[in-house]
Amino acid sequence: MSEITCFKPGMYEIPQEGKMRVPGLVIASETMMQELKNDKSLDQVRAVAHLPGIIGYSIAMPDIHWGYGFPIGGVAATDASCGVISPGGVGYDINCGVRLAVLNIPYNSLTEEQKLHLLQTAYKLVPSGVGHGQKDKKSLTDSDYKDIASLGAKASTNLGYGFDEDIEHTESKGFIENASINAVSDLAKKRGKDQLGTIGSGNHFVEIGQVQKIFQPEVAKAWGVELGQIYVLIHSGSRGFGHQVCQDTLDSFISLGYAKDLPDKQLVAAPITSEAGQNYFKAMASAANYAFNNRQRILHAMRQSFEKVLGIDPKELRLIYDVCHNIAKFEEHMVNGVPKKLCVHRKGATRAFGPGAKELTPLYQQTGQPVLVPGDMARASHLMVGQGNALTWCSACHGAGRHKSRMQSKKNWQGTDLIEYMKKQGVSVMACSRNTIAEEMPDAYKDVDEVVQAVELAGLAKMVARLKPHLVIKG
Amino acid sequence: MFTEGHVPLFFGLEVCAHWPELPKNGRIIDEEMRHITLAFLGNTDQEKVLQKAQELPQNLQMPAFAPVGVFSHCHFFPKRHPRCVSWGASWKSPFDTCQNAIIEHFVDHKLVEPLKRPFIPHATVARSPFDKNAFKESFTPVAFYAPALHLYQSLGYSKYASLWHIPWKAPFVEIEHTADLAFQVHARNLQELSLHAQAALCFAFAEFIPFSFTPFEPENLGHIVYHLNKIIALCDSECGSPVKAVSYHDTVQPEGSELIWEMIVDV
Repeated sequence: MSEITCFKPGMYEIPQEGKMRVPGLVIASETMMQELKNDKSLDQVRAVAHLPGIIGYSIAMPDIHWGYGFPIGGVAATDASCGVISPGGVGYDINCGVRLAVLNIPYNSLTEEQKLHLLQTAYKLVPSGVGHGQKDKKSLTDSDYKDIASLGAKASTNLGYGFDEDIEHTESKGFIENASINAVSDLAKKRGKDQLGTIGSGNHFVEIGQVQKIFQPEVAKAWGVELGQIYVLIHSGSRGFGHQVCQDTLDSFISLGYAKDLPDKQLVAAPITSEAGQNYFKAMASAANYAFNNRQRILHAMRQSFEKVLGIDPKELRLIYDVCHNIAKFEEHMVNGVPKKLCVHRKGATRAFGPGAKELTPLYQQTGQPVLVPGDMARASHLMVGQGNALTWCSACHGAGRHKSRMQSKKNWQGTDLIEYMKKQGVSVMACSRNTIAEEMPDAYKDVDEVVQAVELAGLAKMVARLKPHLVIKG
Repeated sequence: MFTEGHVPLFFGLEVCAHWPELPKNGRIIDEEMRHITLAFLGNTDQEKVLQKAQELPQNLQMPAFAPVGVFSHCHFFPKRHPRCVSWGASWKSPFDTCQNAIIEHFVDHKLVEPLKRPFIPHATVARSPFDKNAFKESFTPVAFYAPALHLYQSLGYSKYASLWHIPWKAPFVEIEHTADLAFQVHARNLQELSLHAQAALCFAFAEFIPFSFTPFEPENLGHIVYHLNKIIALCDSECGSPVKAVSYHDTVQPEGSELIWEMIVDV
């Protein structure tokens, strides 16, 4: 195998070899690259480069880690007219994403009692963990599902879950076009019917903290982000509804023979223009719209929490942005100087449009779009601004990325009072089980500061603010 | 009356399980001491028993892999004036025949009296005094596997020492995976592979137990993965699932007479 070479600061090329249709591109610092060189995740980057219709590079973000089929932290764009669409390139949790809101009150002005009350109230109002659906709310009906698919996040704001302004501050205005609930199975609907407005489990969370540092004062000012301000960060996706859409599609694509001769069935892909490919997109878009609604309702519950504890008008908890990090979207990009419609798969990667991007609202057209990068529950999360880097199809990382397995993390923290330990780090955590906290301890993740620095070095996005978590609800 | 060289012995199965927390009001048996008793020998000649025990593998077909099962019921023994809280085990592996053959071997060699009643496999988790209602109400099914057959000596105070054992190969082993949950699953054939994969899921997450272990004859690995994901989907619909799906990524690798599969579960 040929050498991986650095051709620009923070950018490394994996040579196109064998049946790869394009080279690989790894976004990483020099130190990260040393660790990554022999990592299995780069084999997955090479495997993705075999996809029919792939254009440009098979891309790996600095938070890359080994998944199955596609790596997590991967980006691949295929020609919309003759390429393929792959459910593995999106992931099971369709439109898993992050939402950031801010409140113009200094976090340090809260009393300890208020902080505790806020955490407990949020924990009560936002169901988290396994089997914790919205028990006091009615299940989604077919009509509800139709609205969710056809209206996106507006299906929730129309019912009073948030405000019209929220839609303007959501990627794609909280709506992926061409969704059709008819493309979604009854089993997917059954799984999702009681899960809207819930965090779920795994690495999903809600965190409250303070804006700790500002790197780009002008951008921060334009966005209304201030030092010391309270922020709320929400990480969740399409829950069982989306998981089943992915599963149904994998089963369907495999039964149609699209996985034949593939070394890894999770790489299975169908031509975008095929009936199977079109149906997947319609179902995926429905799931993406479900996820937008999910995060919209969770934000609504957080606004209720702040109102209850601090007497704050819900409008004051202002949405900055909501991003997807598991999605396939049709976007127009320049390819060899010609605009071309591409299907951009981002699995554990975030869109990072720069200034001037037509899809953005006027505010973000001026600055570039916000890019939200959650880290771990003790050190930091980051707010960045997209630079519209063409080499990565305007993409950036999605988080810190794990570097320790759940098994290892649980073992390492056996016998420790985790709640007490986290308190000493300045963080109060609530979760349904000790295991969840043990799996999600900060040292299980890469250092998000290093990850975002690599992203900035490569010119994908710039750091705007560092966010310090203090009150965390784990899924 | 004490006879030199005679000690209280019994044959039992070691148990590997993710034991849940038990009600505090009971004399709890330490997790590492819990076992499934196969046959009480009483106070008996240790040397004689050891010799007979060592003949076991020659006379009987031992399981290729540690049998898997579920503790599915909470019993209180004896029924009239209970002194033990015991969890009844139902085998998911076809172990009943082997279990009965082991017991019959001990009976044939006059180490054990013939059983007056059918044997109920169970593991005792607590002794009296205990709050019966608390144990009854808190019980939920738990998956387990039995990694070895032991000859145990009772030391008193619910402590036991192993004098001899036959280990069996684990049907699954959790392995390192950065983002997700992974198991290396072993079996002799696809049907057993499916059983052991389900056992691994249930071992990690007891939520899947009510939806697992229905009879199923897979033709290939894809069928197994499809079936596992049906379990996950059903569980999620009813009560929530802690995982998203089992991935299709790997193939079954033959190793000698065994099949090995790396099962990755998306968390």
